[in-house]
Amino acid sequence: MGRRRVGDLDRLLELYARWLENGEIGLAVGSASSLLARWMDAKGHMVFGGSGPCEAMPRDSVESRIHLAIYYLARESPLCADVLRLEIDAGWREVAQRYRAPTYRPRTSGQLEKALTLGVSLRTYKRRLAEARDFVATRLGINELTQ
Amino acid sequence: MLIIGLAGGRPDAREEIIERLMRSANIPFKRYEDRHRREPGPRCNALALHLGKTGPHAKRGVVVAQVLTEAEAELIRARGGVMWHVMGWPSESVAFQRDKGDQWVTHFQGGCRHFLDPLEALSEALLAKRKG
Repeated sequence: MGRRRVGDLDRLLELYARWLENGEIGLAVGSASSLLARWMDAKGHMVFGGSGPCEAMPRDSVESRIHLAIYYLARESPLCADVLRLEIDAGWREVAQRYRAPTYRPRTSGQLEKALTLGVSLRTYKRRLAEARDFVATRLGINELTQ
Repeated sequence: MLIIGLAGGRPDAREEIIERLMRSANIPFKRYEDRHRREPGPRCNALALHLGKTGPHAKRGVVVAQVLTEAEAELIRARGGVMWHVMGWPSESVAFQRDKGDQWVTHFQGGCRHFLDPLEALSEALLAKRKG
């Protein structure tokens, strides 16, 4: 079995991880919560606060779409979502906290260590990762088979 | 301390597995091999002595490069270790015992059918050890 070739989805997931790490998920000035949290608070109605015209413009970026895709994935399969979060190092702190792994560090952890953090075997980890990638690719409309 | 014993397979396959363990896993592994003794009793005694020197709470692992006798395999299992049966020609003296945690392992990256990749097998062994 050879290594998987890096494709579009990998580049988008990398962008998403950087976007999340930079804390860019807030939409309005003064709002500290995520797009999803504000959407849930407003019961499905998009509410954009802020004082200037530029803050009133919604930002529908591919990163926010990935964020939503992972949210829906977590509803169907929390393990798949956590596997993806650890794999791309996006939101890993919350995952490590949830699994009571205070010593987890993404830079020094390979797939084996990530699987052990989640309490699953490496084979299970790889299978869930493939499922998670497939789910997100489908949501984004990327056909992974052509990559 | 995690003890892994390799039985069966070709020498180059076992070497590849050992190399992947020592290179990839976060746990530092030390290799043990007894090339001089052939009789079960002396081999088992030498292995027991070596494992006794290491201590059960050591943070590193020991990989026994070639387990030739059932007595050695039983010693490894009794110390909380696992036996890996390498893909290829099966061992004539060490029987596969699934209920005791034995695994089929291959040196091929990603595994092959029911044979696990060395790191996959290592994760199974570590999880089993964690569950006690």
